[in-house]
Amino acid sequence: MDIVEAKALTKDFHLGKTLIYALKGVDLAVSEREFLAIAGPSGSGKSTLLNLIGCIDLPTSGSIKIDGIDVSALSSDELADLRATKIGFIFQMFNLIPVLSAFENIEYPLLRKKIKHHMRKEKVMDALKNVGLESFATHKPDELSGGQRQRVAIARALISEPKIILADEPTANLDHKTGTAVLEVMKKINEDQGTVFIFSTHDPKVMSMASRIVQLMDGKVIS
Amino acid sequence: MEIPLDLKLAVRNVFRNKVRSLITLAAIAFGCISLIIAGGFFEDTFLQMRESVIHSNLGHIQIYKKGYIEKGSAKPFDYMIENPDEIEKLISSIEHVELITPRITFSGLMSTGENTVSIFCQGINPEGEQAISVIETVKGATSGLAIEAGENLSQNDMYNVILGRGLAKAMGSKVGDFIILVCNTVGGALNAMDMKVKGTFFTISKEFDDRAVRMPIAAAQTLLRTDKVQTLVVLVDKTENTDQVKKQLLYLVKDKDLELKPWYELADFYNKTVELYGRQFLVLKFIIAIIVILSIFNTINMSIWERTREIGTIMALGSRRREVLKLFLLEGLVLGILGGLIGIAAGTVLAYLISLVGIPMPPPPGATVGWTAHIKIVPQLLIASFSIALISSLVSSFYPAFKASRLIIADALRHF
Ligand SMILES: Nc1ncnc2c1ncn2[C@@H]1O[C@H](COP(=O)(O)OP(=O)(O)O)[C@@H](O)[C@H]1O
Ligand SMILES: [Mg+2]
Repeated sequence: MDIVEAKALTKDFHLGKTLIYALKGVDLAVSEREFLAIAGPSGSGKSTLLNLIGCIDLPTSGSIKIDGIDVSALSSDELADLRATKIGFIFQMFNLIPVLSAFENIEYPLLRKKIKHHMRKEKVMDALKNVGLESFATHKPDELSGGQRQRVAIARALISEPKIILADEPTANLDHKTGTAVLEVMKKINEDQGTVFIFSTHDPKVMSMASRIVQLMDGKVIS
Repeated sequence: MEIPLDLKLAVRNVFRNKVRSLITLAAIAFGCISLIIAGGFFEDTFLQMRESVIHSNLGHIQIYKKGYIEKGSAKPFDYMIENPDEIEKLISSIEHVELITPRITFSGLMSTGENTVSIFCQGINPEGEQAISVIETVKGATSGLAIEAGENLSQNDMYNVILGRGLAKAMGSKVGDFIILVCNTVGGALNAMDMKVKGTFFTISKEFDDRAVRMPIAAAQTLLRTDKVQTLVVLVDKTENTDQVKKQLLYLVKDKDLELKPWYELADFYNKTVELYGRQFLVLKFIIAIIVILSIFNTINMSIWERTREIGTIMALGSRRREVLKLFLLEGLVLGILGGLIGIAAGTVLAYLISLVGIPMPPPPGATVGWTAHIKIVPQLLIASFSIALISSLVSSFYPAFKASRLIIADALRHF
């Protein structure tokens, strides 16, 4: 079974009086263990597609199934729960909560789950180790470098053991070397734990690390 | 115990923009301080006024012959208490009762030979009245009835009077002068007596001082040709115990053909003043609630605007809308609690400091003497101002928080 199954997705945006067709009928199936790159020029609809898969925006038409669940039937709370259990996010701007330490940022998604206090602490510490940041636990985001922040974000995305991690241009705000290193962390997790990654990128070097590349152009899949 | 991350988050977010939060806290605290000071001032004023009213004339409870309250003003002598000594004895055994003293009030004429004026006479027991006129509960307050010239009546006096200072002035009467009192006896005949002016006095009420003559009750009884009294005034140890005594009195006088009124049913001016100021204070509370609501609304609204992307992030991570709402309500609550606590602390200290000095006040309307106001620290007022801070902070953070929780996540994430 495919972990993501999108059929005939369209998404329109109203921009003043004009209607923008950001996606014009996208079909996409992503299977277990994929490390999928979504490529395409700026404005081609990569972010829009990732948002729809991540259930943080609703399609104008078409259907999305995540792990076999048709998300169009779900309420806002059910969508939130689905994101909390099945989907992780990595953002271009890292999006860490500035008042929380690295440790607390990673801990945050776990708070809603009924996990014993010491188990939680252990889990977070493990996640920090996984991304090589165990000595930065108490650092606030603004005390970390871009690459370190993105690794905290990866640990945060992973902490609730989601099936899919969505990453919209995860390396766009990092220099080339750091970006590649971050991608390698992602790749290793994909190989070790089988977590599906779907990420968008401009960077040919990053694309080359993908197990498959989906090319978007003008709101359509071209290959 | 572990502090919940939500609370940590709220507290840290509150202090993220220190200047803005401090201004908000100052606004809330300022609101609380104003309430505590204004409310404490009113309370102190009410208290002083209450004690003054009680001790200048009313006493705590007045006992009359049954029917007096309804018809006594037309036919005062038809409703007289026949056996005052017996009743005094009965009542004096009640707990919290300090003393009982008899009174007869009647109107008459006073003449100096040259001028004649209509007056309001009180026949009283000098010792009893003196005990009533001592105010111990209010610091710095003058006693209810103060002697201006000459001396007060004493227990051995008989044909002596003291005059209200307005009356004495109008009549040109001085201490040591003789005056003639004329009035109807209980039986309806006309009677007159020579009396010596022993002193002049003033009370809180200028109206009273302009017309009042006080004499020993025995003199009044002689003048009126009666051995009855009209009123028995009961003094209670503390005003707060009035109702307790009243309850027992009601029980006692039930079969004695008597009726009674507590001070608060008699103190018309006091009641109206309290009501007036009470309403003004309500307006003040309302205004302050609005100030607090606006300042918190502004703070939370701005901080939500600045943190739109963060809200998108936590919702993407799986927070339900209600949890986002809770998070920002919590921030509002933290602001309200902190501001309220600072306000209560500062307000209490300020009230204490102001009371150390005291605020000199001019005579209130209808009164003759100025007084010193203090700021009473009232626990209920502290609780009320804290609650206002708390409730208005919740109310004002609700709308922005609700708005935040309704954002489309993808839009929120695009926000910079
Ligand atoms: N919220 C929005 N409102 C209006 N237009 C939007 C919105 N989001 C995306 N678009 C438009 O949709 C198209 C696709 O955008 P996007 O998915 O962000 O592309 P990409 O991520 O590939 O650069 C663009 O033309 C963009 O301007
Ligand atoms: Mg994009």
